[in-house]
Amino acid sequence: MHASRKAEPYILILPALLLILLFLGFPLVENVGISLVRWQLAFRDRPFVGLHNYVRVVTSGTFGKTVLTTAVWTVGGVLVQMVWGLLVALAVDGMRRRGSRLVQSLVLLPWIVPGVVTSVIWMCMLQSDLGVVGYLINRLGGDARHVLWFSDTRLALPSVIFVNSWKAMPFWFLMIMAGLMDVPRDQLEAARLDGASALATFRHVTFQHLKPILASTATLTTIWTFNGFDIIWTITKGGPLDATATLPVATYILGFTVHDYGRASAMSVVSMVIVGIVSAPYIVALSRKLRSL
Amino acid sequence: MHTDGRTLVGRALALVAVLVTLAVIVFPFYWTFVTSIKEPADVFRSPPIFFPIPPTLESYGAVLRASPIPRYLLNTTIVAGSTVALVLTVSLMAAYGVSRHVFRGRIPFLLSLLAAQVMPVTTLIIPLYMFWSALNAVDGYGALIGTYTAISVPVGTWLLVGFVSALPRQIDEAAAIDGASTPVILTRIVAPLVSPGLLATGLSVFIYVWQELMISMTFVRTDRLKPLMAGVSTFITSRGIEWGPLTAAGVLAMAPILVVYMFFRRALIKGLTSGAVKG
Amino acid sequence: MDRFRRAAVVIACILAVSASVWGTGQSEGKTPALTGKATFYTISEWTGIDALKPDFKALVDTFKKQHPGADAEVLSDPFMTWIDKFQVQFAAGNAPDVNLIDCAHMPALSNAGYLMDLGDKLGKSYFDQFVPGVLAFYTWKGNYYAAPYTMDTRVLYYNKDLFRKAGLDPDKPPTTWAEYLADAKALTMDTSGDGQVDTYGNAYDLPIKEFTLASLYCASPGTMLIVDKDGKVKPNVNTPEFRGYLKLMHDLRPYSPPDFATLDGQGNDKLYVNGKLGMRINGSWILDQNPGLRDKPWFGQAMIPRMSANGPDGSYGAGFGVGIPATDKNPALALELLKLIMSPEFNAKLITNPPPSRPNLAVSEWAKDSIHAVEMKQFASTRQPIPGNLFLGELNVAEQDTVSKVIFDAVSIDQAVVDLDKTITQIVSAH
Repeated sequence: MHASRKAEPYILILPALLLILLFLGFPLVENVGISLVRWQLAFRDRPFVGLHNYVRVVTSGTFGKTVLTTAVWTVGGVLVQMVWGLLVALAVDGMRRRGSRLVQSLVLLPWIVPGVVTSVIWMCMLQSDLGVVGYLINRLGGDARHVLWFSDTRLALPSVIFVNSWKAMPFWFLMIMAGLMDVPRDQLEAARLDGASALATFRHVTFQHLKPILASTATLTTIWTFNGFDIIWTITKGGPLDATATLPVATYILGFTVHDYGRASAMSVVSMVIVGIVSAPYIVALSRKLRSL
Repeated sequence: MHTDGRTLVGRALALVAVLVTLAVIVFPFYWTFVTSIKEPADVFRSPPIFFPIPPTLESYGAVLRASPIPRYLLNTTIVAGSTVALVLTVSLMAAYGVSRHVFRGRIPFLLSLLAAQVMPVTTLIIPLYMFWSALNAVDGYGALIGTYTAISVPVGTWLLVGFVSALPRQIDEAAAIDGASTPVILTRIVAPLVSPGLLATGLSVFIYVWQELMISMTFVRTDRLKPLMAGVSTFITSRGIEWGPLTAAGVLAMAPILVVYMFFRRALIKGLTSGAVKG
Repeated sequence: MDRFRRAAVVIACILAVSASVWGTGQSEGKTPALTGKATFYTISEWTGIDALKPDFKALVDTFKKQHPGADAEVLSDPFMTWIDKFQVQFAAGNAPDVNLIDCAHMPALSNAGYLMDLGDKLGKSYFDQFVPGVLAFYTWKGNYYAAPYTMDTRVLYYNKDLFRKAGLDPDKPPTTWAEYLADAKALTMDTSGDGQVDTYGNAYDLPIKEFTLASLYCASPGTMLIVDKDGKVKPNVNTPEFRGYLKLMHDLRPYSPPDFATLDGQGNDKLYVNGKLGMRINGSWILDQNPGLRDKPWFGQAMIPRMSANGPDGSYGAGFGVGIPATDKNPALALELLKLIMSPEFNAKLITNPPPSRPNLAVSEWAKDSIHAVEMKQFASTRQPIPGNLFLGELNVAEQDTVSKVIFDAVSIDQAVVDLDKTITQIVSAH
């Protein structure tokens, strides 16, 4: 009984561990392996070249721009999702029960739309001359007839960030709603009795209690946004003029258009290292906290 | 519900924020539906048509003629359902193991759950395709179910750890003292108590598999095994996008999920917000 | 007694069986009947067309009739998926039996040994029936690795009414780059008097990969690569042809619809069909997809404008071949399916662009239709701006990026040429 008790946790986590090692760990190892050889579609041989692929990837003229674009896409995207989700969650929190339920149900809808349909319908609506969004803006007094949402090199990235945030915001909304439920009522009451403004209450009470969930959600969404590929690929394919070419997009092009699998794997590994570095602070804090559990 | 120091102006602004958000969220759905019932030539008419009269089912007809949608629906349902069942089982076991026991490797395992989510799909596809084709399993449910399960287990476990940790230990300890074995504890006691979490996780996985495009298109070749998304992506052609049929296919693909969502949304929201990842 | 009888029966059976096998073999000289299932992987843009569905079914039925005991299956994916997937399948070694292959991928796949040498299996004389220019796409180091299945080229479609409105002679479409540019400018007009431009003269395709306009470059003596006698590949972009082409692309920008990102090929076609685009360089699928177009009184077509009045004709051409993996598990059956697909009876039916890649198709209904007369003429000078080589994917990306940058004034033409020269050198020396 005692022996099997000791083994129990290992047995319980075994299926999950096996799945992860096999289907995620093995491809990771494969990728690293491929990144160290020269492998292009046109040639059968795969000679070992050490770090040559990495050097080529990092010293290519466009690498800096790609990383910058990825940074803007990720940080900008997460910020938009977070602020938007926060505003809506706070607003809904103060609503009556029925209204709040209805709003919650509706806000979750973008989650259900397939990514492909999301991209296509926004392309349809944001077409400059014939798109309905432009039409509505014009009717409301603006002049959006010739705004090129996806064709202007300055607007393309913000536009795809918006589409991605549209899809991702519900997750933030949910997480913050969950977090808001844990804000202690008595502290809020105390603040109200003290005559604190809404802003002050938020800053000193609500926000403090939201911090853990904001941090954990930020980490998850940073990873997901960083790796996001479908939306950009469907709408702009990385264009115009690489304005929306993030690391995943550039990796895909290296693999499937340029047919250089060695370099594509190297770029993959570099991307994963970057994500790892970015999420490191949270992971360190998390493991410290887990130790104390 | 919180009453805090909100002024009337504050309340009004909050209401505006909510209304604008709802408009931005709901309008694309409306537009997708409306586009699917327009004559194809009217999709980009200027000024845009908001209420197509008379509506036409031409695009839906095109969709149903182009691909065996009922077959695709069956495929996706089988793959998604199997994946959910597997993910919930494996994740609950792992979550229970992690939250109830302190063992060596516990923290690395938890961190590996996070690390496992870092891999983007584009990196996974070729190695996994080679793997499955070496096993001669390409073009079968197995490859898809296996891949989706592996991708979803890290997130699933992560979510369920939160829920299981929230259960007081006394409950399962009491059951153990009564002589219940771990499988029994898991199925008879823990699972019912974390059912909001199971529902939330299960639904998330279901929706993910339902929508997934890249893996299913790469791994499946024959028409009779393709997923619902294949029916949608057919209309993104080399010459351009066929907006009418694509939105029609999109509506057909979303409809089942919408129905499921309608049914479970209260429980889902409750589940996701009640014991979820608090960090 | 029993034992002997049993033995006798067994021996008799063995004799009977071998007699029948031998007997058939010797008396009829047949090879053993082929069994198994052969698969054909093509694009769903074709299999999804209602009018073609009976033809795909006929292919399978005919194959089964010709080879009792065998089966055939048609697999398909949308072009965007197919173009990535078929490479992965070859690399993984489980490609279907007969594959549609993009001509741009032929050098890479042939060189890496992924494709079966069809000249070897079908006999080199089988390939004599194809137009040499088309066959060149599927030849590598003297061997044929795929059979030319489709061929396409581009012509200049224009709108006679808009020409008239712009003060141009509707029967004199542009024949040179200079004329094309001038006409594009004239055709960019405000026809409704509201101060906004309503019609344009030129269109780029999404997303500024000037795929169709590359025809203009092909209508010049230029070629972006030179292969010297040692087989070394060198860039050839610092030429008046390429520079002139860059300048043309750049100068066309004010006369092209600006929202190219959401105006894909079909979008631009629609502009032309709806009378909003004066000139459209594209392939004849625009006629397939817009049935009323050929009857419109303003419909006109012409050869691609050449760089100079006495220069060579040219047009961007591409196409698909059909090939078999070198490691195919059932090569004999695969070859039979390939031959059936390539037969004149089926070749013209299973796609939307019947190819005059060989004379016996040149007498097909498609070729005899007068609406295709210009295109038939253009076939003779069809080529690609970068000749087939092992780095085609990357070179195409580099070239298209260069053109995009010039169009957007991100870089001067001189700098663009210098950069591209360097990039090409780097790419081809990377192996």
